Amino acid sequence: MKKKTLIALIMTLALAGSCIGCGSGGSSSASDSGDSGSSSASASDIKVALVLPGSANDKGWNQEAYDGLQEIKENGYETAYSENVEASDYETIFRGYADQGYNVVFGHGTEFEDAAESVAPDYPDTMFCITSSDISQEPNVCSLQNLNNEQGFIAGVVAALATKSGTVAAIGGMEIPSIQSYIMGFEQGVDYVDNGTTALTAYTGDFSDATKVMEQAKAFIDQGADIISQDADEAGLGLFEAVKDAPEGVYAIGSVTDQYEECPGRVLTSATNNIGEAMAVAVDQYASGDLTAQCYKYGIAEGVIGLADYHDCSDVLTDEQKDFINETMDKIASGEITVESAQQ
Amino acid sequence: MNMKKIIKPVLSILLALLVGAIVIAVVGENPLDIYRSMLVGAFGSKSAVAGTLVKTTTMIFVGLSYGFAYKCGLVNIGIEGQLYMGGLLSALAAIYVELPAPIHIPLCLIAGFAGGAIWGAIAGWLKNRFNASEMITTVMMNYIATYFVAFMVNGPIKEKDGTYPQSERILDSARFPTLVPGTQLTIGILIAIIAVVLYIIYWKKTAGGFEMSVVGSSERVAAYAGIPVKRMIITSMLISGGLGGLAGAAEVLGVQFKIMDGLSSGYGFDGIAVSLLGNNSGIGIMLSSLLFGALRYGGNAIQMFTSLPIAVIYILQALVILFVVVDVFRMERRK
Repeated sequence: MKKKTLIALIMTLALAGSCIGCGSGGSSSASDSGDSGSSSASASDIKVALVLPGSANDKGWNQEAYDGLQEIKENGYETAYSENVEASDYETIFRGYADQGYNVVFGHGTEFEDAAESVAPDYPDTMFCITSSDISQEPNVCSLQNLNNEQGFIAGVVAALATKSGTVAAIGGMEIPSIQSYIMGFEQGVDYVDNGTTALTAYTGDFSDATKVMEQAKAFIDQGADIISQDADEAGLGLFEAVKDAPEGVYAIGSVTDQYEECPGRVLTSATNNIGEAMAVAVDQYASGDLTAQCYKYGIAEGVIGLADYHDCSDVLTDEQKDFINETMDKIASGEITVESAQQ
Repeated sequence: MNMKKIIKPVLSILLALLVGAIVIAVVGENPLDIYRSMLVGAFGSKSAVAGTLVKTTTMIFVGLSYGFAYKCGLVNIGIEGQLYMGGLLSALAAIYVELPAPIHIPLCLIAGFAGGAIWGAIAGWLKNRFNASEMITTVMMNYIATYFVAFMVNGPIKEKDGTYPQSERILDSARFPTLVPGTQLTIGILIAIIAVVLYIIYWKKTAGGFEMSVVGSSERVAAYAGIPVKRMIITSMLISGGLGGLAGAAEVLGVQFKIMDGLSSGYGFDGIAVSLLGNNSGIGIMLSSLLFGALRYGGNAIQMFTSLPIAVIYILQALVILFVVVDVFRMERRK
């Protein structure tokens, strides 16, 4: 009898485990009207869905897209999203949205490529749009690629102008094309300033281990670098830990969002990369009938890549140097400067 | 007795829905609306039915897997791991072996069965040799299997182009043919039904099935009757694991067409609930698989198209499972 009870108890635990299993496979929604069947005659005739591989409030990759979706919603479109979607459900969720007549379905990240390519032929009326990717498939799979090389380029220009020691550094996460582009851009930016500055670069190999980024940053500081940039998602936060303990005159350059708050007073500026803005631009293009099956590259010209505020580090750079940075950005936007990339 | 067998699971489901309705009402939504959109999400259109049946396929395999071991008195909580190992071997056969479809698909299925069977049999052997509880060993082996697959797709079998940790796509000759064009429904569901039929025949009509159920009732009696208990245990874990492996193979060959980290979103654990709700019988498992398939697929729909907070949906799914377990407590006491 006792053993039976024990078995039952252990099974209860296992079932509890299975509930957690269900949990992580789930997703949630924010539907405008709550009733997908009703066809309102308002401006929101276009329905946009976003499928996220992680939590919408992760303060990083997913949140960036979620914020973009909120902007799209404010622009008058009807929106819905699914978060924490497991790889096994990508296709299912895509089909679900397409069945309900969603016009644009975003898959947030390279991992959604296969699902989009296999689902798209069955739903010619839905545009599937993959972020951080370069795929396209006629007539209804497109992709959004942010020009990380331009992002790196600006960071490189800022670093080369701000350095006192003549050595700057950039740390990448995983060595994949999007990150390689950032690092390549950084090196080109430093070369562009052409004041004899040396650029040190390294990859730590992942996006989650902040300690590795911190150690790498400390090593660079020991080698004389006084301006250090990063492009390593969550792991990149390790850079700010290193800068906190560094001697006076060492500054960090943040990336993706304005990362000033991570270490006030020691973050010179941030090279921003606003994927959400790119999504909003794409949806507007869809509304005007211009979104076609191709890879869209968004950079400084589209306002997707940019530079954050200098906050209280404003006096590190002279006004002439700031003007030079702005001119350089204008030149990239106008195509006068072309930045090489690791992506096609 | 027979009536009780039907009434109890139905009662559990109704109770779960009732308590679920209260939870939904507390959150401030109309329970009927939510249930309706769940029903529509699961059965409302051709592709919804197909989606539900795809999930049902997986549920049948994992349900049979748990049921097979349970009938022999074993508790196999390692179906998740067996699913991953089966998925891995069948993916290897589907990617790297070139054969015409009529031979390729069976080969991949055999590979999938073998992958799970080996993983299950290890737990059976540990029980026989060291008297190690299969409940513990199978749970632990889940981790080894999932992380082993994660290692494989990050390294040795990672696709050449692309940066996401997943294998190459399987060859076309290994893909399950689609049953209804434009949907995800493949012959996987037919294979699952065949498995159910074989399951019923084994337990109802064969001497092996009878002997194994004697072991399940009491190992001592079985030993006294001259039944080779240890061999029964290892065979049972072998087949139970193999069925779990087939769940993985069906996912790889019929749904994902590749293997990656996150092949299963906890399906292996659903198998426990599926089997218990279905009273471990073939027909019962098939029906409860349909219910859980609908819960899984319709649950996705709720999450997509209503403003119900995500946590409530988890509560709903958990309630059904919980009431199944409560039911089990009662049955255990009666014996």
